[in-house]
Amino acid sequence: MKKLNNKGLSVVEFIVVFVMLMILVFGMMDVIISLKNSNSTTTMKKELLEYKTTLTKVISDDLIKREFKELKNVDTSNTTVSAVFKFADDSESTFSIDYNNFIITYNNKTYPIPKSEYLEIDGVITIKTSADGKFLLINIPYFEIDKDVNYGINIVHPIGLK
Amino acid sequence: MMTELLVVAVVVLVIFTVLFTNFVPTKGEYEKRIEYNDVESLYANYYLKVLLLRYFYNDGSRINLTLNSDDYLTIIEDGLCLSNYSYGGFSCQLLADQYNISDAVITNYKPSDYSGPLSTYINYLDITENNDGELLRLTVKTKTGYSSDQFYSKICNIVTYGDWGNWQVEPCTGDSSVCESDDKKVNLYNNGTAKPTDCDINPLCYYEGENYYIVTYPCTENCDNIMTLYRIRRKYISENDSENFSISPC
Repeated sequence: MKKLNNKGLSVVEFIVVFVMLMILVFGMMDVIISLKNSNSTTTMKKELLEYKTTLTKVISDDLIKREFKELKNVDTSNTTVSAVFKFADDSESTFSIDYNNFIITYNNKTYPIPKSEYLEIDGVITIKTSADGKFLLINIPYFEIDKDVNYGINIVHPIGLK
Repeated sequence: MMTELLVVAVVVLVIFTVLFTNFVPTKGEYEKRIEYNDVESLYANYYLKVLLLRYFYNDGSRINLTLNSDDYLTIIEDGLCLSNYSYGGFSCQLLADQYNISDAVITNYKPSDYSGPLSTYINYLDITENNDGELLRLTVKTKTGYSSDQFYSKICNIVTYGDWGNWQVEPCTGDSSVCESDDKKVNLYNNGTAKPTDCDINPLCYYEGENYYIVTYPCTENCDNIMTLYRIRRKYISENDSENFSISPC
């Protein structure tokens, strides 16, 4: 009767396999974790870019089409910043930022700011005309925490250039 | 057993490595292109375009914006305007500083000679030419990204006929008058606010049905109504009429 080969795995082989698997798993884990973080950041960036694009477009187009003339009633308090834009046809629109509720309101329409654990409004929110009076400046700094990356809104409108 | 194990391990590693090395450049390309056409650059481009168009339109010398033999025209280089373009109290340099525009260039739709800092972005853009092949592009690079926008036709000439005096521009039908050759056509924009009497004094005027239009060219607002018109000789006026005419840049 023929004898079967039933030696199985030796201890050495088992250890080698185990070590190799561990190396593979830990190597992959680093990659997967970095990809997961990257995915979160990318999603956040995408959401913020969409928000920034929408709001910038709404306000800038309004400033262009209705011909912005004058900045009025700029009001800065701890939790809210607001200002009134006056246009060529004497109509007015109010712009405000509510820190507490993370909401920007323009022309009676609200635009909730996307919140993220990675982001903070860091710095001074600016709504003013430049020193020479030629530009309307709206700047809402929104930084990635501990990084010098600003996802905020920065609108610069040349007053009277049309 | 050991050999089999090693072979399998190596194959698995190779598969993962190939996947990863193919994924990384794609991710890099995505991160690079996220800067393309960002909203701040788009508006920087728009306002620079308005300034340049107004400058070309209002400047007495009527700069003929025909590209040089290098098929591009650099407006801003390293944050500095190469010419003193200005209009309505705004200068090119003021806009460059305020919008952080580091480079701006006007090219045609298929620039072959440009190799500056915007070349990667320009190569990424669609190179489809517009129908008449006359449009240019204004491309800018700001601190936040890149953007590009249609500029205006290279061919924009004011035609002064010798003694023909009266001439009109109209869509070319070929029915009742002589349509000039394709290279004499002009892309025009209308604002729809003209009165019939305006057409008596303004040669850049045409009518369509009961509507009269003053042509505003180049166009900066409501530019959707672009129309290609052809210079058309309307009628013989006097014995002194001749076919001589002179062409000067708009």
